[in-house]
Amino acid sequence: MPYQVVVGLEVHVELKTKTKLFCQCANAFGSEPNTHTCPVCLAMPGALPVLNQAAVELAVKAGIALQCTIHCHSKFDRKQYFYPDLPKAYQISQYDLPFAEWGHVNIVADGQRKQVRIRRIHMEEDAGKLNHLGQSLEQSEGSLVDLNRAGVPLIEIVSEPDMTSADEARRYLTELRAVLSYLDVSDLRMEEGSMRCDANVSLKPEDYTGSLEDLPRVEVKNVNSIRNVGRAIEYEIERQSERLAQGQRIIKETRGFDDARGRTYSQRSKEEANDYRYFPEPDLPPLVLDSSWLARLQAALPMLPDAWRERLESLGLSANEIEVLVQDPSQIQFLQEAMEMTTEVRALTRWMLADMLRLLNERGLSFAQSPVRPAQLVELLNFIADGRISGRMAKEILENMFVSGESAGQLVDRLGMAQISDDAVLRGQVAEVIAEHGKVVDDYHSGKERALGFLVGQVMKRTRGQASPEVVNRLLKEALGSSVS
Amino acid sequence: MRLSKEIVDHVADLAQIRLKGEERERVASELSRVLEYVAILDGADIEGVEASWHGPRASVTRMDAPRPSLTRAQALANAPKVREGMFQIPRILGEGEEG
Amino acid sequence: MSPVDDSVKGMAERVKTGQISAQSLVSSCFQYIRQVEPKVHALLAHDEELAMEKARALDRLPLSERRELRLAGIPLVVKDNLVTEDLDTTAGSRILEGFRSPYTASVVKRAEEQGAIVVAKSNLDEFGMGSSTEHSVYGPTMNPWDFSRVPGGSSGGSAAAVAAGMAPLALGSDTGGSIRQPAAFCGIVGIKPTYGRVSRYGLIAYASSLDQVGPLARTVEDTALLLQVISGHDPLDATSAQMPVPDYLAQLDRPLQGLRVGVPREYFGDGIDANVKMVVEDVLERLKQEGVSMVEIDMPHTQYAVAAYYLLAPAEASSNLSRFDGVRYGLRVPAGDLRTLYQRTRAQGMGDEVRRRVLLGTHVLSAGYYDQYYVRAQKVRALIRRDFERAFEQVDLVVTPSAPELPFALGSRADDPMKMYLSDICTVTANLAGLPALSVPAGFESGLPVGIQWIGPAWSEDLLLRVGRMVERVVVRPPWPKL
Repeated sequence: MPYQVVVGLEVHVELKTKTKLFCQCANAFGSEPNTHTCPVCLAMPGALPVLNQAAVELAVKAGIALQCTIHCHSKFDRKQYFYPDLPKAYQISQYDLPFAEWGHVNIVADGQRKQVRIRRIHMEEDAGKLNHLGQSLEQSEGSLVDLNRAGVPLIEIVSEPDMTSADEARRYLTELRAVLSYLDVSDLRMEEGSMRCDANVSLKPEDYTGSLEDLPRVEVKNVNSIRNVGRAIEYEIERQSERLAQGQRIIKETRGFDDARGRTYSQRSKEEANDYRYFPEPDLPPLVLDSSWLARLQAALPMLPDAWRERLESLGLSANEIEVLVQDPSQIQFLQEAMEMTTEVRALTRWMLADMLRLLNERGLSFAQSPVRPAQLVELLNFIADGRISGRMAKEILENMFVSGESAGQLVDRLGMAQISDDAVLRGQVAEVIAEHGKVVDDYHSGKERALGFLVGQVMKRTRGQASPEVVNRLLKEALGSSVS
Repeated sequence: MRLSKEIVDHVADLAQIRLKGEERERVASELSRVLEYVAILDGADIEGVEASWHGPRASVTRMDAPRPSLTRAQALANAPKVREGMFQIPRILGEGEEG
Repeated sequence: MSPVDDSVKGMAERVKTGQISAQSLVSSCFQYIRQVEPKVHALLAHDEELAMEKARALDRLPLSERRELRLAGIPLVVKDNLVTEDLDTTAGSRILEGFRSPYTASVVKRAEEQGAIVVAKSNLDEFGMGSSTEHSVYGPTMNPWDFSRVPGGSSGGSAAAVAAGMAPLALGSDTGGSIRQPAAFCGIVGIKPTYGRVSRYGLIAYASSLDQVGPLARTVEDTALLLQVISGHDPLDATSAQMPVPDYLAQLDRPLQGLRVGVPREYFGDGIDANVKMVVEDVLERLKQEGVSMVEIDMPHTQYAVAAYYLLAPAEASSNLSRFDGVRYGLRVPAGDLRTLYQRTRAQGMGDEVRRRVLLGTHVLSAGYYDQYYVRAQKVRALIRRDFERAFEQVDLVVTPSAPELPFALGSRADDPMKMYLSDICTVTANLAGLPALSVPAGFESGLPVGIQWIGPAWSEDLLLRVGRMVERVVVRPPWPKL
C-alpha cells in the first residue's frame, strides 16, 4: 500500500541576549564550566526567576516575522521531570498559552510555492550540559554537569506536519533560518547548538482518514545540521516503509541520528507518555504585551526574504541570483546600503556575487565583515561607468582594496590606472601601430576579423593597458577604413 | 476512594522518592484520607469561575544587563561531589531526556 | 535576664546615641540564650563571635551614620528557611544539613542594612510544613509558657524565641498561618503581609503563591517597625509589588473612628474551642465599648478553605522541592546510578510530613487528576477571595480567632496528619486570598495565650496595625514567662 510522508519539525533557537532568560548571568558559549552560574540558574534554595525583557522582544520579533498571531496575554508553566541538566527539576516553559500561534513559512518545492504552517512558538529556558565520563552513556562511569547553558533563553518553533519529504523539510529549515537571520535574534549555529531541530516523521496510508496526531510518530532528536535533518528523514522514511512492507507496525519512539553511519537509532520508547505535570509558574506574573509596543516592534522589523525576493525580481535579477543573495542577511544589508548610493543594481549584484564573494570567501569573511564597504564598492563601479577604468582594472583595484584598505580613487592614482579614452591622445598611438603592422592591416582588409583584435592589443600594450578598449576599437576601425580608400 | 498501590508507585516514581513496602501501605492510607476530606470541594459551585491568580497581573521584567556570576568555587561549594569544575553524578541508566 | 527590656524603638535609640553599645546588647542576648535555649530549643545555627564582630562594627560607625539605622544593634532571629551567607540554612531538613547559601535573603539584607544583628536561625517545621514545630529534624521547640506544649508552627522557633525574650524581633514565614498561629500560641504579635508586600527572594519556597515573609515581635509597635524595614518592591522577586510603603509607625496611634468589623459566623462555629471563643468574644465586647461596630457576616466558602489549601500548597511544594536531588548541594545518599541516588536521597533527606505533602502534591498535578484537584481548588480559591471582596464592601476588617484551639501538648497530633491540617482552619483563607492578616494576643486561658486575628483588604497593613494597637490597650496581659 502506498504511503504519504508526514513530517513536522520542532526547532529550538537560542536567543542572542546578553543575559539568561531568568537571571543576570552572561549568555555566553564556550566558557569554562560553571563560570556563568548564580543562585537562580543553579536552582539554589530561595532563588526566584525574573523575566529578561530583551528575550521577550527577540522572541516576539521572531513571532511577527514568522507571520504568527501574537497573543498579548500568555503565561509561563513548569514542565517537570528529573534530569541532572535541569537543576530545578522543572523547565520554565509555556504550555497552553504560548505567546505566538498560527504562523507560516513559504517554501518552493518542486518548483511550486508551498506554505508550511507554524502551529506555535513558545519561550522557554535551556538546560545545562552533561559531559559523560568514559566511552558512551551506557558504559559511562558517570557524568559531569556544567550549568553555564542552564537558563539560556530559547524559543521553540513547532510546525504543523505539513512537509511531505526530506527536501521540503530542508527547504523549510533553510527559509526559517533565513528569516530569523534577518532579525538578528540568534546565532543560529546548528553545530554549536544555538539552533536545534527535532523531526517528527510518520507514514500515512493513503486510505487513512484519522487525525495525523494519532499516527505512530517517530521523533528524531537533536540533529545538528540542515543536511543531516534531511538525511535522518530520508533514513526514517526508508526504515518505516520497510517495516510496514514486512507487516510490522511502527513504534512511537524517540530516536537519535548517527551522523557517521547516516542512521537513526532508538533512544527511548514513548509508548508510555511522560507525565510532565505542567502547572502555571507561580513565581512569574503572566506575560502581558502592550499593543502599542507590539506595533512599534512590528514597524521596526527589517525587510524580510520574501519582500526582498519581490523587490529584486522587479529590478530584473535572475531567480538564481536572488536566492543566493537572500540567503545571507549580511549580503542583503550590504546590497541595501549600496543601493542607496547607486541605481546600477545589476552591476552591483554581479560584482557582489562574483568578485566580492570570491575575495570574501578566500578570507573566510562575511559581507558584514568585509573590509570593502558598500560606499567603496559603489565608488569603484562608478569609475567603470564613467569610463575612467576598465572592468579588468576594476578587478585588480578591488583585490588591492582588500589588501591595503585604500579606496578605489586612491588606488587608481597610486597605480596610475586611469583609463585613456581621449581620442586625440589615442589617435597617434593608433596611427603608429597601423604603420608598424602593415601585414596585419592587410589581413584585416582581406577579411580576417582577428587582425583587429591583435591591433587593439598592440595599442593596449603601448598604453600599458590604460587605453579604453572601446575607444581604441572605434579609432582603429575609423583609421583602417580611411587607409583603404 | 482509596489510592491503589499502582497509583502510589506511580506518584513515588514521579516524585523520585523511594518507598519501602510498609511505607507504601501507610502513604496510601494517609493520602486516601486527605483525598476523602478534599472531596468536600465537589460541593462548591465553580460553574463559570475563573481560576485564581495571586500575583501582579501584568509582566514584571528586567533589563538585559549582566551581573557578575558566582565564582566557580562558590557555585560548587556545597556540591557533594565535584570533578573538573563540574558536579559529578553516577551513571544514568536506561533512558535519555530532552536536551 | 532577658536583654529585651524596652521597645525596639527605645533600645535602638539607646544604641544610636551610645547610651548602650550594640556589643553589650548582643553579648547579653547570647548570655541569656545560653541560659534559656536548652529549655525552649527555639534556635538552630548561631555564631556569637560573628554577631559580636558585627556589633563592634556598628558601634564604630560615626554617630551620624548610626543615627540613620532604624534597627541599630537590635538582635534578630531569622527563621531557618530564609537563606543566609553567614549561617547555615537547613529549613529544618536533613536534606539541607550543613548547607551554606552563597547569598542572603533580601529581607535579611534589609534588616541588616538597618542595623539589625542576626543572632541565630530559628527552628521550624521542615520546609515550613507543619503547625507545631515538631516536624523538624533537629527536634521540637517548646512553648515558653508551658514546656509541655507546642509553640505552634511552622515559625515556632521564631515565636518561642521572642516570647522567651531571647531577641525582641524575629522573621518568620506564613504559607497557611505559620506566623499567626505560633504568634497566638506564644502570646506575641505576628503579621502575614499582603501577598507581594515583602520579597520572597531567599525564602526557601514551600508554596510560592501562598508564602509571605513577616515579622514576629512582642508588641504591635515593634512589629510595625520590622515590617516597615522589610516591605517594598524587590527587583529579584517578580511577584513583589511595586506599591509605595506607608509609614506604619507614624500611623500607629491615629485614632480609629467609625470602624466597622465583620464577624464571620463560619469562624466561630463548631471547630473552635469554647475557651478560645470566649476570650476572643470578650475582646470584641470591649472594643464595642470603644466605639467599634461589629457586624455579623457570612463567608460561605470558608468551609472549603482547608481542602483547597491542602491541594494547592502540596502541589506547589511537590514542584518547589524537586530541586533537592543531591546533585548540586545538600544531602546525597550515594548510589551506583543516578535514579537510585535521587530516590534514596529524597526518601532519606525528607521527613515524613514533607514526603507526605510532596507525594500528595505530585498526585494532585499528575495526568488525569489535575483538573479534578488542582484546577478545582484554584477556582474555589477564587470563590474564597470573592467572599472577602464582598465582606469588604460592607466592613473595614474581618476578625476571627487566630487558631481554633489552645496550644496543644507536644506529641498529641503526631500520628494524625488530617487533624493537624484542620488546625489551620482560621488562617489559610488569608493566604488563599493573598490578604494581610495580623495576630495579636487576646488574653489568656488557663495560663495559655490566645490570639485574635484581623484580616484586611490588600495593602491595609497600616489599618491592621492600628487595630492591633487598640487591642493591646484593652487586653490585660500577664508578665512574660520567667525562664
